[in-house]
Amino acid sequence: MGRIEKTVAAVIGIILLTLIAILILQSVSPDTSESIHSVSVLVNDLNEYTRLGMDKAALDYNLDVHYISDFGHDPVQQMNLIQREITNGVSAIVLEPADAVYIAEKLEDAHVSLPIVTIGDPVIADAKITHVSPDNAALGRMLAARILAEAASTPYTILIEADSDPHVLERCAGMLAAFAEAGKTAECRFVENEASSVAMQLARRPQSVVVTLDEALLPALCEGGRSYDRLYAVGYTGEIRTYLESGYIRALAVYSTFDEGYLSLKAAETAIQSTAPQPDITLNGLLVDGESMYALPQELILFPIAK
Amino acid sequence: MEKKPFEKATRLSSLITRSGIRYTVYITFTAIAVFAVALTGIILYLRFSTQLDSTLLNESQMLVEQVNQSLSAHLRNTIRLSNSVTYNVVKNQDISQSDIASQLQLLYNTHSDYAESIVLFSDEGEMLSTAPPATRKKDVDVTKAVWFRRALGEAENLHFSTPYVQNLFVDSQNKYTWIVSLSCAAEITRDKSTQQGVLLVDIKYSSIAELFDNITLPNEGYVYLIDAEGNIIYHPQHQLIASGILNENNIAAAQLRDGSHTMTFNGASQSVIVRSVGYTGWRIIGVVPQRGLTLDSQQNVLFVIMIFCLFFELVIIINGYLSSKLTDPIKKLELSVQEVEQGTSADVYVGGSYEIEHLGRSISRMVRQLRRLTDDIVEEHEQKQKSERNALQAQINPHFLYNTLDIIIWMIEKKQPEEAVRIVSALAKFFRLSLSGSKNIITVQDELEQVRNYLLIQEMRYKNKFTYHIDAEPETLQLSVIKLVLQPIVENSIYHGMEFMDGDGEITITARLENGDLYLVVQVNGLGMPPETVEALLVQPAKAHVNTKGSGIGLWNVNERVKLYFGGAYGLRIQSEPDEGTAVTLHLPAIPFGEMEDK
Repeated sequence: MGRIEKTVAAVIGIILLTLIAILILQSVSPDTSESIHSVSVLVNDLNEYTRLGMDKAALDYNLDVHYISDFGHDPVQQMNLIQREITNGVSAIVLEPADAVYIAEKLEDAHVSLPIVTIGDPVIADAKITHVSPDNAALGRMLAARILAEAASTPYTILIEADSDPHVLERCAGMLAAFAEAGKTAECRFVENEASSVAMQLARRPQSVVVTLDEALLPALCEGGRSYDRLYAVGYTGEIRTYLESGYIRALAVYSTFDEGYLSLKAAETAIQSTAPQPDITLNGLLVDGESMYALPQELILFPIAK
Repeated sequence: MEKKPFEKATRLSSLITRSGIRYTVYITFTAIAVFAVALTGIILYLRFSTQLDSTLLNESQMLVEQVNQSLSAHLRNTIRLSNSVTYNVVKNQDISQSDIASQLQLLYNTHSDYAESIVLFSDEGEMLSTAPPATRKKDVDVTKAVWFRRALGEAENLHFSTPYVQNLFVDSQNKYTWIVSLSCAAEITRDKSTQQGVLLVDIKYSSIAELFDNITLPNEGYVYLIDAEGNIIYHPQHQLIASGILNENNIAAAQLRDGSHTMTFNGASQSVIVRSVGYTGWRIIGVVPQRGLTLDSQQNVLFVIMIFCLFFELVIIINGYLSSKLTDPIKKLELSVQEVEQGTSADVYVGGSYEIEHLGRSISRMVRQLRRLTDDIVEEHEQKQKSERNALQAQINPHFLYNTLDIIIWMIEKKQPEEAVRIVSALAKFFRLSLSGSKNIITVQDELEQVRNYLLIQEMRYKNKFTYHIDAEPETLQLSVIKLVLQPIVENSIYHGMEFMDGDGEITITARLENGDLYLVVQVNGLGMPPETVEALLVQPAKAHVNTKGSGIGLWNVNERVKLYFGGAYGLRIQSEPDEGTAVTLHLPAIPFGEMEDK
């Protein structure tokens, strides 16, 4: 063979050997694209439909999901659990921060590099974080518009849990802004999440339109006796289905918690596969009342079909 | 700009032409092999892709057909249940007097694996009986429900609904159930009066979903169920489609007839299999992405590249071997021909394949013939040269003889017999040396002796008008010299140098070695010669117009003979000054006598 032929043969031979080496390495090393990624979900009181969405995503994206909810609302314990999960080698973490500011600080201190997806309150930190949530201010505005349309001249009382999370306050801000634009005012009251506390507040305000922006307060409100004129709320749980059907609750601003769960795990999976930061995901909001709750698309939001 | 492709093609053609047969063969073979394999690969890929798609489509059609049969069987069971209630329980029985609830319960128990509830309504929406027992919600008005209105509106038909959450009964556990309803008109007898009622059989949605859940079509295909309008009844991603996270081509699919179709959705081509479900107007849609043979993983891509590289490597090695096998003999032949061209005695290469060997033999024969012809030409040339030399030498003898005989005649006429005897004696010695065998090369000593005899003759002829001296270095005496080279010089010296001289002439002949060469110098005083005469002496007589006694042939003759024997570097040099004299130097190589071939 001539010199050029030898050179070409040598180059091709080197490429060939390199490819064989790569293929051998790939065959002996674990395939990350096909492997099952482990994701830990640290959410206290996980919504059943959010869980449903997460289970569906786990199935679709071949994820091994660990649900951890034994930290109460203690951010320190939640952070310890996060570090434990990182040490255990999880590929991503989905969390609803017990205290977004505290968790953000600790994540930065720990220089966490694995993907983190948050639901509920956003965690603003210099880490690979994707936030999945509805536009909370828009939910507040949406509900305010409905209230203004149905009860324009009635006093409004907004009940908020004393230690509400920032996303609840966002809803409140959106609602107050909508009221202000309509020339209305609303009274905000902080209550304990107990039927007696709620009932005491309601007793002081008969004939008032009552609004709660935190679904956690809804059972207490419904149990507190029907001393209010109209009840509006943000969020939905299976427990309040009867109250919505019966008209106890006039309208709800809801978003798909199924989608929240599904998209949070999907975002985690995407972040695992990619080095680039993933954009935040905003969930659509919708108004539901007793009449529309069994019609599409509200029916599928309130009663996810993926069982 | 338009010429560029043509120029490129020309350059490429020129490059191939210049690169030689080996690389032309190599590149052509490689290109053809790669092209052939690529073409074959593409054709096979397309063929197998189509075949694979076809096979997968057939497999998918079978799966869809199986689902269709399962679903039809399931729906038939539901219809049988409905018919059993309608004809065996409700019809011809007065429900106010009969215990139809227990009969409904019995049927429900039998079919509870898929039946969620069986409810009988009056035409005013009054719930007459239900199985299993349940409390109806107060606020629910069934007369507004679609299933109720359709049952009464089209009493002769059975009506299947799309899935919905059952909201008819009080559910203390806050659980919800997705159902599909079968409603139909039922003739009810109550208090002996007959009226139209509505029978509602709620089928568990999960019982339908189960038929589809485990069905997976090839290429990550899937099966879903729609009603006649395209509303989704079952879809593995129903919830995500409802949320807008995914989308489906269900509305377009509802327009398709039963069979297999190819559709493009979200930029991807897919096979869509449509089967209508009996009794319902529903349609089962099977979707199989048309991927053919895809390289969807990095490992597969690397594997294909590796195979291609392996093939390419083999092509390079095999082509290298083949082109070497083919062209190396040609190259060897070319090199051997080049050597032959350079005049060496190398043999022409004969080998390789039959054609090349044949060519080599032909060239070899041709070279041998050429060499033979060349040898003949050289020999002929040498013969010619020898003939020329002999002819030149032959010019001397008559010339000298004429002159000498002139002298002898003159002496005899002058009555000088003693001088004549001396001359004849000298002439005899001269000719003895001149005609000694066929030798043309003699020693310097013999040549000087020859000249001495000649000078003796001439001295007598010119009556001692000149004297002569011969002075030779001893080491020159046994060197080789061409016979009769000094005599013509001396002769010309006498004729041209002294014939018209007033005083005594003097001829000096010396032989010396200088710088390894032999120099024989004939020096004569006398008239000398102008330069043009000197120049004319060494010009070929036919071209020269020197008309002198003794002619100029002698010197030209000597000069030509020396050059013919020893080459152009040697020969005569004449130095002459008018009224001063002339010196003729004969430059020869110093070759000992006997070492030189006598041609």
